[in-house]
Amino acid sequence: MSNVFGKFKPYNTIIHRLDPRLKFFALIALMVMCFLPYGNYANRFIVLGVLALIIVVIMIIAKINPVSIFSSLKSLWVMMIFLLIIFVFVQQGVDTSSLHPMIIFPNGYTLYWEGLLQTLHVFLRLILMLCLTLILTSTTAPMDITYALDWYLYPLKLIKFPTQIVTMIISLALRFIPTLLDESQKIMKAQKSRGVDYNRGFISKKIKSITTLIIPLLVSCFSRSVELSLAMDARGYDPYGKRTSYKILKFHVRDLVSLFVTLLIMSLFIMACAYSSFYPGADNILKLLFGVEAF
Amino acid sequence: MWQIKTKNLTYIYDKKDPNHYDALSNIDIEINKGDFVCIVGKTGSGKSTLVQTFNSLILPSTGYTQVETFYITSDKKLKKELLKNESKEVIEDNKHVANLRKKVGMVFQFPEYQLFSETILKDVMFGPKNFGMRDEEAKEVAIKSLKEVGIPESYFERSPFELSGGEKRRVAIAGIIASSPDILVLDEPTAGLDPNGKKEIMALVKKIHETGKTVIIVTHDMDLVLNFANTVIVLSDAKLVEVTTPKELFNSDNLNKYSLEIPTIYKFINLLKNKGFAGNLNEINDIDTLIDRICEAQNV
Ligand SMILES: Nc1ncnc2c1ncn2[C@@H]1O[C@H](COP(=O)(O)OP(=O)(O)OP(=O)(O)O)[C@@H](O)[C@H]1O
Ligand SMILES: [Mg+2]
Repeated sequence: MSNVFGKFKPYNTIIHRLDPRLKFFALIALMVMCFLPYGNYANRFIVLGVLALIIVVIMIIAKINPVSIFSSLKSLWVMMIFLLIIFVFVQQGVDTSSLHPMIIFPNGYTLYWEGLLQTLHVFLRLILMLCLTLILTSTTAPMDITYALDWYLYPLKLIKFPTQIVTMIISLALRFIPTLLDESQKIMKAQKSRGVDYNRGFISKKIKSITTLIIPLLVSCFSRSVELSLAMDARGYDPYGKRTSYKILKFHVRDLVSLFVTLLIMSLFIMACAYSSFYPGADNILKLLFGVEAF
Repeated sequence: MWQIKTKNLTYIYDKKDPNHYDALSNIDIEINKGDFVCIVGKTGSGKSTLVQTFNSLILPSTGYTQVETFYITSDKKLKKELLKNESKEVIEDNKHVANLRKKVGMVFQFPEYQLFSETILKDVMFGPKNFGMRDEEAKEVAIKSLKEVGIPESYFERSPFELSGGEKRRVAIAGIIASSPDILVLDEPTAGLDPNGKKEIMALVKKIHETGKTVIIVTHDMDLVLNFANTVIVLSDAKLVEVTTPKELFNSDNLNKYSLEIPTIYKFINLLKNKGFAGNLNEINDIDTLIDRICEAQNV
């Protein structure tokens, strides 16, 4: 299980060296940018396309193969079909006069092109979000992510919220992901040698095979967590104690520059959003940029 | 006549990893039907990896493993080549890995992780049912094998998660032997068991071996090797270094080189020699001979 999707790979690129707090901020910021309203579909796709371009560039800098995303999307096909069915068959609001009909059934029920576009739009957003998260997790060591989180939770400390417990829980969870993956491999091998076939069979049979994996995994999870908590107790762990960190996060010039770039990108997207939402008559970025008329 | 054979078997865990290395490198072995084989070597030498290829849980990166007429390799071209001269039935048989897994029963290190059913009996029935037995039949063999591993009948309806570690191990082993495989592979079956548990498990394995089955054990316990095995395969740093008998292995000077421990009886003999024991201490390979020699020297 060493090429797990999104697993941290210790290269030494600029993206890897950035401050985790900044990366965290940029992740959230760009994710929000995926969800701002950009007016009509032409606008939305242009904006998301630009965002996709930015993301691909970051991935290339961070030595992540952008094509590898697609191999990990296999499991999302079911979702895509599900979305498609919902968006195409469920009517798009009350006012259908502005929509473009695709198929009109004899009884007057109409399917619109917008349903298709909507699906594509949602799916594109999903992929972009996935890519963003992937960039964060594969360029930042899990512990660094928790340090960043701890830093962001700082305001909560002022109201006596035990943030260090939350961070400990998160870092433990992150720490045990590879262990659990390893363990599930072991269990699957043991079950395979008892005749379980995880790849073949219909859904009902597959569910049955999955239970042979899930139950032992849960059992060992529970016993592991009990053991871990005992071990932590034995070594005098006090959940409310004051924590010091062995790694001190420093903000470098490169972080400052990246922060600036992030803010710049953000403001561009927000401008696009504002422009397409609030200027009457000029709701088309295409027209603005190239004078082309889209639908 | 060999029953399991490997040819130029090489295995690499993560080929994409830039600094990958061979977990197994060019292994050629033959294991005969009815043999009691022990595979030894220091940790990380590739023992577990090797035995997992017998069951097609790991596919050799290059080369192949052959179990009777079943070919196991990840090299599609090679497999095609190998199957070219085989009969139609063999080719058909090769398509269903379940046939192989029924033939080769594999007990993993810490097999207690595989338990999942509500009751012990159901868990043991799971394997045989997967391999196509009907419910009543599966129940019969399950009861039989649970009794063989020494689980009393009062336990049958209990949850497997309420058992102690050693008992869980027995139930897990019962789950494998219930499908009555021709070849039984055990990866460190006695690790972490108490001396009595060890003895019982080994007695059981011996009984299974006496019914004519091939037994392959991966172990670090040299006493076990001396007492049970008739062939020893020694791995060192992913390579096959020796295929021999226990007596030859333990009487040679290579043990240190392979980082293997000396069996208790040889340790004892060495101590006697060092203390200047008068009697003849050569060519002793079991406890009875040793006692005879000691008595001889004491004129008992
Ligand atoms: N899942 C895995 N992923 C990557 N490398 C592995 C994996 N399993 C084993 N290895 C590596 O392959 C080599 C052989 O491992 P293997 O488990 O076969 O050793 P072993 O002889 O069974 O050791 P032990 O006596 O400790 O059980 C080791 O160097 C190990 O680090
Ligand atoms: Mg091993």
